[in-house]
Amino acid sequence: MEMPSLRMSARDESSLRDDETFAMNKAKLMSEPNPDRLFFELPPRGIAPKEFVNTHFGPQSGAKNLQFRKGTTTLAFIYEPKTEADKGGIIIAVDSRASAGEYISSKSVMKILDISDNMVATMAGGAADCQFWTRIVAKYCSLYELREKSEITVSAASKYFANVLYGYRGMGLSVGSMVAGYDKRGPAIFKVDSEGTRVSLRLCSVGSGSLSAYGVLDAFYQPQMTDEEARALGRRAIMHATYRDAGSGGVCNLVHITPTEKIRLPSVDVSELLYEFANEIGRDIAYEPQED
Amino acid sequence: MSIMSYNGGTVIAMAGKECVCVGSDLRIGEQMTTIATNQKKIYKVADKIYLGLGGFHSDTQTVLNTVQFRKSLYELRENRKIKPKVVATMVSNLLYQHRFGPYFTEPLVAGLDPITNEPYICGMDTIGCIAAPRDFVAVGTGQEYLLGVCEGFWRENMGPDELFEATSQALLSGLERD
Repeated sequence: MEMPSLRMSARDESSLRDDETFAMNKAKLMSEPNPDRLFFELPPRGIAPKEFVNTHFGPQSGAKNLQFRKGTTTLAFIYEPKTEADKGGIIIAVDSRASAGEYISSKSVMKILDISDNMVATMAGGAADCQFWTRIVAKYCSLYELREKSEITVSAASKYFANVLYGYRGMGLSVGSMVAGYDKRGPAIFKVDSEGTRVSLRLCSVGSGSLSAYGVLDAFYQPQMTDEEARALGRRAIMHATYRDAGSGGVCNLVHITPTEKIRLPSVDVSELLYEFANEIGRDIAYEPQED
Repeated sequence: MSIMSYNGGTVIAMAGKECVCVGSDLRIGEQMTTIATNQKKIYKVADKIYLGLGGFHSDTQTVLNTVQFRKSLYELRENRKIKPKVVATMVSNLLYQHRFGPYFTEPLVAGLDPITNEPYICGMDTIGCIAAPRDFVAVGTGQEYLLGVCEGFWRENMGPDELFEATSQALLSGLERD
């Protein structure tokens, strides 16, 4: 199994004196990067990566535009079909806001990334970290399928992901991803973390708005639901999370993974969901100005 | 997170022909959590003068109460209606008195002169520096985004309806990003 490797910076090798090493370095720097061997430049000796990342990219950083885009709500749950007409499977729902501190840097981030035909990974934490490492996992899954001539299980894909992240533990990566999919063993959701956590769950939510989402999910989840009920539950949980959490908002993206296919449903603006909810319970959410 | 963005909130004011328009968002939060969505940030201090306060909510309430008190005393002593420029100076002095332990609030004064109906708007920083342009001001967490949008919407001598449209559209656009 190819693991991405870390190598010391070229500057540490006194490269500029020796002709041979100079030629070697020139070849390395001037040629295309080899995709099979990942090479990350470490900071110069003496600088610890985690502290470096925290000082410059963390919440105390002076430069707002360098801060990691965090703040999100993602959720996923497995359910059985209630009637003949339903498909059952996994519902994955996410918001679409990327915030850098208080600034909303994007209203339309796609936080559900495809790993393979039957699997997706959600994005929470550092956006770049999630996007990059999800692609590495997707690459591994494609190679696996070509080698083994059978689909990779969610368990194996998430195990690979978790092992890779464990290798970078303490370096300041920020990944809170859920790998969800339907494989030969059935539906599965694995929550994978940049600390190296990997847990299998039937109902899961990650992100700054996850507390509100859990509240709604725990209150209304049934092991057997119709397709419509399940999708509505996913959207309702996202709506409540985006209402109370300033780091979540935008549109609600929903993916429904059934035993046979992966259905991407159209996005719905969370404000529309809010008005729908208010109508349903008869609550007046318009503001009445008071004269003072 | 900084103290000025702890509760969140933005106020905007625009001036037109013998009219001003003031607007604010309605959200109050504690860092990332939203506590309420019906908390306005603009208060009436006189018949045609409004005070908008962005920043740390606790300090905005304190400044508001002090200014309302001082304005009442002024009107009793002077026996005439207070002008918006005087309210602004009053707030500015109050803030500068606390130069070395400031109130964490950025006030905005908008109103019409009680007699001539001349519009007056101004914004201030936390220690009371008055900036009184003739077109528009914005204070609060969404200040930078609003100023850019206002620049596009504002024109000379707008009437009340146009001014209302411009202010509300500017506020809505700014709220998309804050």
